[in-house]
Amino acid sequence: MTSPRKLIANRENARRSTGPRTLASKARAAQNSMRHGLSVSLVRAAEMSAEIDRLGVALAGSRRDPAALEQARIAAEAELELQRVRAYRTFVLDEKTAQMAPLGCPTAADENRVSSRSAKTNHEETANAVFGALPELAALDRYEKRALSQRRRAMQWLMYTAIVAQHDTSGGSVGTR
Amino acid sequence: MSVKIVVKKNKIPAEVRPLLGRAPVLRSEQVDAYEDFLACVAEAVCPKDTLEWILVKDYVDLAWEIRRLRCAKPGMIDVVRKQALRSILESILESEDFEHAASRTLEAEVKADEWYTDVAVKQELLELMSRYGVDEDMITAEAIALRSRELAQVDLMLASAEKRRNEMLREISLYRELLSTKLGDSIKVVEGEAYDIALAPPNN
Repeated sequence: MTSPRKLIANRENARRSTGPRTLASKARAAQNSMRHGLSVSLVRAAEMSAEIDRLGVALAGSRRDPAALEQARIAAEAELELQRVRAYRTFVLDEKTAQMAPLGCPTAADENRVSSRSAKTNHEETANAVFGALPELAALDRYEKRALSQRRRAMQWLMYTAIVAQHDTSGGSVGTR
Repeated sequence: MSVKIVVKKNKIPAEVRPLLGRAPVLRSEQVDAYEDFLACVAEAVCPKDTLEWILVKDYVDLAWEIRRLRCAKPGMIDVVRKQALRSILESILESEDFEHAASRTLEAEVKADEWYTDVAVKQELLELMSRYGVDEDMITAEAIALRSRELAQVDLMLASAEKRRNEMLREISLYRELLSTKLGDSIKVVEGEAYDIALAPPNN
């Protein structure tokens, strides 16, 4: 049985729990997953469907059987997902660079003159951006790992079945030594 | 004797380029350096089809990210050197050393600023530190300690990226090995010499 003292302490701690409380902050937190959209499948984005098809056909090569095209499509979707993750990583780091620049101090983002700035300045900016974006970078790592794994499975299926198909076409063991 | 190394760069075919996605280059990084690196790796690997180009680009993107993270680590340490110095000074300053402020914290802050602006003050502080067995290397050590959690996170990301980069090379090798197996079979059929080869898809 929980003692009254413990009960009061529990209630006190629960009041301090983190998380949005006001309507405005709850509305803002609800948009978090919309910011990068990486949890939304690419297939649902209509404009991506044509991209997936194009890349899928390229990955399938000369094969036109439905199973191969399906796996090629899966590989294409995973590859585009990977590109999306990497593009977002670049965006996050560029945004951090702009946020962390001292007020009034021109950055590469402002001037677009990377080559004229010293390498040291550019390295410092990149280091600051990486430091500032660490939690987001760690989260993006998870999405990248998932996309890579999906792509690898689909690509390996395509590779192995291409050989099996070739073998079946040639009739298994053919001729004699 | 200097040796000039001429690297012939393999350009991405026009029909493949749109399929590969953008270069993951920050505004503070050089796009030309990335493109050169991609071209050099492509020259070494000679990708034969879209799949190989995708794997090559992946390898380059991961190598680029690894380079970025490795360069970021010293920067992350340098940014807190002053804070580290302040921390050390706070622990060794005695009240008779106070020149500018009444509190140890404020005095340490002022002296840490002067370290970077006044050579004479820096020398005095080095002598003071040496009395306690502290030198400039310990400022670096303190800075690393201040950033230890973040540096550990970067190390984890580095290890992850390095593992994936190495896997890209293995995937290209595996693909070519399987391709050569496929081609090898075709050649054997044509030459009237063939035998059963046990093949099974990978266990997923």
